[in-house]
Amino acid sequence: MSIFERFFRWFSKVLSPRKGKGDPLASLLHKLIAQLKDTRQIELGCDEVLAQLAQFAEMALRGEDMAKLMPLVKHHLDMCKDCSEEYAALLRILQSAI
Amino acid sequence: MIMTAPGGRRGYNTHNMPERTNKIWLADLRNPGPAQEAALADLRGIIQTGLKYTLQTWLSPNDPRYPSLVEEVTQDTLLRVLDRLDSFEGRSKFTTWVHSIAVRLALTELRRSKWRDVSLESLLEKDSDNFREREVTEPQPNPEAQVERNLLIEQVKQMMLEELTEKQRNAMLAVVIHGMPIEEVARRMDTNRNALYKLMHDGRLKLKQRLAREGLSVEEVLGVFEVM
Repeated sequence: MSIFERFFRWFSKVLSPRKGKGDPLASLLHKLIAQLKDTRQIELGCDEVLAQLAQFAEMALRGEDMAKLMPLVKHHLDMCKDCSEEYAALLRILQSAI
Repeated sequence: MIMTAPGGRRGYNTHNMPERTNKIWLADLRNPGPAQEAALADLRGIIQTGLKYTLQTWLSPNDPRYPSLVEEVTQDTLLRVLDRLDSFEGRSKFTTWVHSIAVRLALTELRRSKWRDVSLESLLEKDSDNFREREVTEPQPNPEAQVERNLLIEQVKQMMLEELTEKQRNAMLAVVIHGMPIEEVARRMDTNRNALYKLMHDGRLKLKQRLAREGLSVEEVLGVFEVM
């Protein structure tokens, strides 16, 4: 990289507006607001998902389109880390039996 | 205590057990007697085989907690299954349904153990400071954009304070920012995971509606807050 290119990079960096770096509140709000992107009017709770998880896992393993067939369960699994971890574990069990 | 596998063996060869349909599982487990005992022993083996895969990414089999955790989860799963036989709707294989219960019990226990020493108060202390008093960032080369950004940050912060209850705010901070499992946050808030998920969902909905009322889109706000 030439000296000119290095200077150009540094200069561009200095001129560009800072976005969130060094501002903990902005960073925190960003993460919270990001959750709203996929928030839907109707969402299932963790217990409703657990009741359907076995069926969901078996169908997913058969290669069925779960976003289409059980969209609410799929959406919850995308939103809820606890349920998503449990789904991953259940899939591991079922896959081990294949 | 529910009986151990025949011979008390730990490992269990599921190939040697009779194939049961969902209907047979239910019939065997419902009626006390030799058929129920055999079904429970087989189920015990199935659960423990499944737990091996469940715990794979969480706990080494050499960990001293491993055997007692497997035993405890197996017992709890069997009791819960017997208690909830009527709630099995037959939409999956019976054993898959049983595994889903065992998985939840196992991961609940592991999460509890992992987060045991973390209090919600200590976790959220710094966030509360951030909400109360914002660190002043150094002057920016683009003052207009910075002013605009600061205004938006204040506006969103105000929305969070006005639209969310303290409980909703704390739950969202603990889960989204600090990665604490919902289950663990719920335990500390004297509620359950299902109720807390719904509480946070209500909060997200309220915030989304408020943004819309203020003429702001989620994407727009994210664009301004984006972290480099």
